[in-house]
Amino acid sequence: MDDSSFSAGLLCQESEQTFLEEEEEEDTFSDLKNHSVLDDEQLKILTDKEISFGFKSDKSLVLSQEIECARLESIAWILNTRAAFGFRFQTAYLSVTYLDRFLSRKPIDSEKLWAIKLVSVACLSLAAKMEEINVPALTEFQIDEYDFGSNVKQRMELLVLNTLNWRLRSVTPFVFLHYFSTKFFNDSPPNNVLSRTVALILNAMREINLMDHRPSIIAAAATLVVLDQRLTREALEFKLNSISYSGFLEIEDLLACYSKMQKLDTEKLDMPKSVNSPDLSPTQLGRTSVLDYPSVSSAGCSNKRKRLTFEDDDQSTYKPK
Amino acid sequence: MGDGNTTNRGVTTGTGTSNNNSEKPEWLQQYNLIGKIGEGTYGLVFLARTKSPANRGKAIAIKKFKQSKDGDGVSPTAIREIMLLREITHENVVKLVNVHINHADMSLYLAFDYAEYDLYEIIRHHRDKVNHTINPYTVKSLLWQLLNGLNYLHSNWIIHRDLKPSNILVMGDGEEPGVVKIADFGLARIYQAPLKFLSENGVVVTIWYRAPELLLGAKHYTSAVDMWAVGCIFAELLTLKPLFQGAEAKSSQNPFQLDQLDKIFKILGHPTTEKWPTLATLPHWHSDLQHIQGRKYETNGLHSVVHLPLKNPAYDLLSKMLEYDPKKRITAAQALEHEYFRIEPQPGRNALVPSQPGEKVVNYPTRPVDANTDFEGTTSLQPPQPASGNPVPGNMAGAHAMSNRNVPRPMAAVGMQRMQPQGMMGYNFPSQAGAAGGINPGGMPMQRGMTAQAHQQQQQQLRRKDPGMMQGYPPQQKSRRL
Repeated sequence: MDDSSFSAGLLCQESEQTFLEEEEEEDTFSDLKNHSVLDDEQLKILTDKEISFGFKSDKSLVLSQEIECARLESIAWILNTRAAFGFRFQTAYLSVTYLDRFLSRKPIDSEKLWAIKLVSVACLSLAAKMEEINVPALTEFQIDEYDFGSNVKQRMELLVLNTLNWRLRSVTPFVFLHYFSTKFFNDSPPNNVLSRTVALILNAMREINLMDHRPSIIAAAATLVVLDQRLTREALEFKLNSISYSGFLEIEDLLACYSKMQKLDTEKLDMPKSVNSPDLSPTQLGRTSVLDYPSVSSAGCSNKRKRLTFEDDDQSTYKPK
Repeated sequence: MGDGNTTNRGVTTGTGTSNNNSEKPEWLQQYNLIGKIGEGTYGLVFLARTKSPANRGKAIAIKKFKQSKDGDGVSPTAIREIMLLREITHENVVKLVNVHINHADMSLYLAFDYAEYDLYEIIRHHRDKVNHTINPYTVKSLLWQLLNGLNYLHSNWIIHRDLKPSNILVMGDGEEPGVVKIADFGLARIYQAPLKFLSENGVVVTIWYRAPELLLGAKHYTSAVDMWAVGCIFAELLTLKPLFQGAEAKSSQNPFQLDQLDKIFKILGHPTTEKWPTLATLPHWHSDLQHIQGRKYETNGLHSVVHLPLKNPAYDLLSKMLEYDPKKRITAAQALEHEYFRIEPQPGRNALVPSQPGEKVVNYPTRPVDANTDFEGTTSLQPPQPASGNPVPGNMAGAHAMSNRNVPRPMAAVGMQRMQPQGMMGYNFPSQAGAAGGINPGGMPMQRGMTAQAHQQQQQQLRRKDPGMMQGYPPQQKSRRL
């Protein structure tokens, strides 16, 4: 654990110097601004899809503490690798969605933590194939001390694809961002809203299982936290009602998600690193979101996660041959 | 979806490269393989029949993806195509029935409902054999269904990007006779997620059907590129000739296609910034000034090419599809509302029946089947991968200018009695060999069991890749009449 945090920390510093050039950040955000504002019909198609992907199903996924930790390490690795390859934020997010969907369908034995690493590699590689113009070869995805061969990685890609039923076109919160920022900021969102919201969503990946909330709710909650961190339930309801088509958003879900992110955002602001400039530019925020996580991830493994740990004998375990 | 085996056997550490297992994998045992029906940059297509009692004898097209380069993992093209097909269900879009993973070599097989015909063959049959235009009811029904499928795709944020006659399939006898199916989503893109640059993967549509904004180097594309292609296909259904038969430039990865633009300008007249305001912002409009803006074609001669009066609704619809400015080009949804579809003859679900009693039924040729090739035989014969990595489907652009079918064949369907006798192989093979030549010029290894004659034809095919041959339709090869 310590080792991996340490190496992740090193990688981070390197990525700060080498990879997080301003230009790259610009690219990473520019396509979000390219989204046209969704109309009601498009919103309906997207939100119908959310359900079909199994977001916000009735039973919440409960992971053992070991798996939780492994998941956090995987997310850390995914974020680092995203920065190293210059992938877009959506790619990182998408791969965590795949990871959570995979874990919710195919429980992994706590004894096989290495398998989660392998799954993470496959998820990021698949997300890159979906989203990126330049996709690195499998050999370029290196994770910690593990040396998985390309064949093994490809087999895991196939297993992930099959487990996800080949449905890789998951809805993500990013498609809704333009819509919500326009709606909640009365048609004139300040420049940095998108980047701050993206940073918040990326931070939230560690704290919430992505299968527990609909992407539209995550997008709405993050935009509202960026708008105002101290909204009451009534204020949230008022905001919600101000949207013409809001049938798909449920206030309880929004409230739950908003509260989680509210806490996150406050915690983040307590950290010295991220307040080096009062006016956070996309570049700085992007950097923050990537740099933050090693401390949070190790903290998360020791005490932050509140989910119960219990062994479920019924769960079929993951047995690689 | 998917076979049950995959989840249990997903992770093995063996190298698993052997193709010569004497034992058939379990998933394959549910099919009777009939033979090979197509080949392209993506891989091979086979015709098979299901053995299961419920659907016994049902024709299935099985598309085998070529192995990706060692170390690249599952091919992005396969992932995107399967992922897209898993999300879409529409009467006018080809139906993916199953995805099979062959664990020994990690190859992927897609099982589709088989379609017997495609617009390329239907047009060719009318031009070369029937010497008669396609009846107006059939043209209208084909177009109507094509637009319906496309409207569905576009409202689901999918751009096909590679619409051309050979990718528009038509079902044969069975449950859906004469129903159009849009196929081959290997190049399709989702644009729910951000719009992306065309230059990605260097993949672009066949140049004859390529929209002018793409030819002029536009960085972003919209669903309007598909509508341009539909316009070109509509004209081809009316005249039996490709509307804009440009000779393809093949120098760099994504070369400027001057001749294609010239062919378009010659018929539609020169575009102007008055009619197309963003024209001046397109890169190639400036980069090659004397050529592109040098020749001036003032008038629009489209009506004389398609032999339609200016006031004819068919002409009106066609000209709206071939609008230069992508922002003004008619959308699929708008096209479906066009007057053309409200006047007689009304479009129908079975596009291939005669519109009037007493009218002669056209019997289109069934898809040739190469019965000598089996899954194992073909796997051992894959052409070597080009050194540059994944084959670039863009190489195929315009390839079907050849008289022989020289395009990646999508999928198809076959009636019981239609299996070709073995002697037909010489006839069949050239249509498939040429496509491989596109990615492996001159270097394709000899196929086991392939006749010398077929090989000779294959060599001819390879030589015929000369872009100079792209004008018009070269005479039929004698061997095709065997």
